Amino acid sequence: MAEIVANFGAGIMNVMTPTMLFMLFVGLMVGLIAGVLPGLTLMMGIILVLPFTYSMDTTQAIVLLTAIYLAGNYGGAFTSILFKIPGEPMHVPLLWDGYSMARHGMASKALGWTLVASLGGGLASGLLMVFVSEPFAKIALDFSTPEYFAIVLFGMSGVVVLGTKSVSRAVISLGIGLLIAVVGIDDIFGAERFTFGISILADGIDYLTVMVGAYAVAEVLGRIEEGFNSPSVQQMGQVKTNLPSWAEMKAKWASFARGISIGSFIGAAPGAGAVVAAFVAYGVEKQTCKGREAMGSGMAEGIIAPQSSAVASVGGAMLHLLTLGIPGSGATAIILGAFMLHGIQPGPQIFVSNPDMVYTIYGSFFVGLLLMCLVGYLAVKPLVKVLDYPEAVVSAFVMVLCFLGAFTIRNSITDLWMMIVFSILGVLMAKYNFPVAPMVLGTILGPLAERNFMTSMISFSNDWTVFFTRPVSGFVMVVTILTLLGTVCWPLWKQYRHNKPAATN
Amino acid sequence: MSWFMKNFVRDNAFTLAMLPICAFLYSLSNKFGGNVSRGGIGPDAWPKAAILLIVSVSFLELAVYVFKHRREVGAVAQEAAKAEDGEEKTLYPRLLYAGCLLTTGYVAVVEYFGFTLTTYAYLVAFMYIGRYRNHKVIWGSSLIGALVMLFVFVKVVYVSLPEGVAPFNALTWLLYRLMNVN
Repeated sequence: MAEIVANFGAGIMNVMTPTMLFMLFVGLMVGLIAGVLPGLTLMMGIILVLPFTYSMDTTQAIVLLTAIYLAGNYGGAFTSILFKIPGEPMHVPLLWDGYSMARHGMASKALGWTLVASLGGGLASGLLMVFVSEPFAKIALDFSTPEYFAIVLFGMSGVVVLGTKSVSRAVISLGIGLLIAVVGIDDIFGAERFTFGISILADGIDYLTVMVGAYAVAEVLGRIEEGFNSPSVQQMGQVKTNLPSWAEMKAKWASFARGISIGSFIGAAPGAGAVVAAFVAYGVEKQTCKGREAMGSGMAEGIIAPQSSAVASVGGAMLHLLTLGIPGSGATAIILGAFMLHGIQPGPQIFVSNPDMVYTIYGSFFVGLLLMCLVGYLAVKPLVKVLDYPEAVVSAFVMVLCFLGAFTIRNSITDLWMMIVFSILGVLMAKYNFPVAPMVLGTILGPLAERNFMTSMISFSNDWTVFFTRPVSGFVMVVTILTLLGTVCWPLWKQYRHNKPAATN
Repeated sequence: MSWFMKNFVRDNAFTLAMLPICAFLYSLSNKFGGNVSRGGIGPDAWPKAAILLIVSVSFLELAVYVFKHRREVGAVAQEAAKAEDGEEKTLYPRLLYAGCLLTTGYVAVVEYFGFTLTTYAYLVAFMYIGRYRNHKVIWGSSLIGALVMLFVFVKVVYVSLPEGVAPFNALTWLLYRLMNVN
């Protein structure tokens, strides 16, 4: 414990250099602006900055990207509360109570609750991240391929179950991602798979290309089809943040506790993310909080739970990215990509080989959180003024940065062509209501799953029961199966219960 | 073609398209080489599992569609579909096609005209396609944006961007000289 505290202290000190603080500030501003602008998602913000990080030191690059990830979970709250424009999907729950509070003339109070919830969620999940990750990494050092396969499978089932409306479409999307991931020379058998004689395909399809195309470019193309009709900010009046008193916060401790626990848990489950965390936290709050009947009409609990949960999910997601090397969300996948572009593979070994870097990232998380709240407190008005920028102009630059992002991965025009293919695929999937996130997660987690599955099968003489007979992998596999069964059976059970009285009558 | 079939194909075009693609990929995966031990699973196992997953769930998706819609006829079903879709947004498919065409065109010509020129033209065209009409902002911000991006990526991030072919590369080299890029 003392060692963790000492390392963490050193990490904070490492952040207190002009370069690091500059990176943090830039990252926070990009994240806040990406959160505010409805046409620019948090994911796009991280994708757009990625090519700028190639020439940076690894720690600086990760600090920059993590700051965007953190701030993106906060920025969209301003516009949700003030103008009923959710900058990010995770801020939709804030429309119900946050915007209602604003309509009752308590906008500054709602912004104050948002700030406190973000700070509380971030601090609690950050502490969890710092104090749990190293002991967990020590346990994870004993994990073998069956355990890793089980965890990755759990992550893939999570994205299918939690993040989408149609499970079957999510599974198809995931399957497409798994197929994209097998393109190239297989690293176990050395066989060429689906390369169609194109030499660059032998190296495989980089998941960053898929992400840039299917997430960012497809999103902008979707917006252009809607005619870039973002609502503009007409009248803003006086906008400021009014912090709640200590007594008010104390009275709402249970909402904080619920939001933070849900966010940390969901963030730590590979596959889910801030959006799921925010919605689940709001749902739980609606069932459990005092005065739940009034939820949706401007209750502080309706802000505290989803917002603290969304920010807390960042710490949870970073935890398993660093300890297991498994990204659970799109944002952490890009951060993993940045690690790998700098030749570093996150996982339990990183705590032995590069503890300075890990604790500097942790330190930056805390310093960044405080800076973010300070910027949020002082600069709400200029931040929301960003909404007045013409969307066509911003989107044009986003597109060019997407080209640069895809191009700089391998300095190849072929990657740009692949980006175009995936952007068209993304547009088509959106048109037919297929979720894109499972495909992207399939592309990222597919190689991890296949490598660990194949290695397990070879190591254990093709005995598939190994995934169930080892304690950790067995437990995770059972949880995965139960989760999937629950997802399929629960709606059928509800339907049966719904039909039963009708049949009796 | 009956009303039901028309809607079936229209609503499930993506799922239906997956089936022949999967069949083609499955046949390709039978030809993967690699050093496979006798009785062991080979490099085709994982892709085949993914293909079978897609195909089986696609059939399930189609079956559910047929089951749900078989009793609905004509306008009733159309009303139901509209109600499911909820509030309809105004869409401009021509803008989407123009955006796709422009983006594809950018990738097609960037190696010939070079990064700066192509990016400048792309930014201008994209803003017009995006229905923005402040000409000064469009031409000015595109020029400044293209030059700033060239400077940042070549001089700061050290990325080798497409220079273009003669005579367009002359402009790139001139800009490199002005930016003191070796």
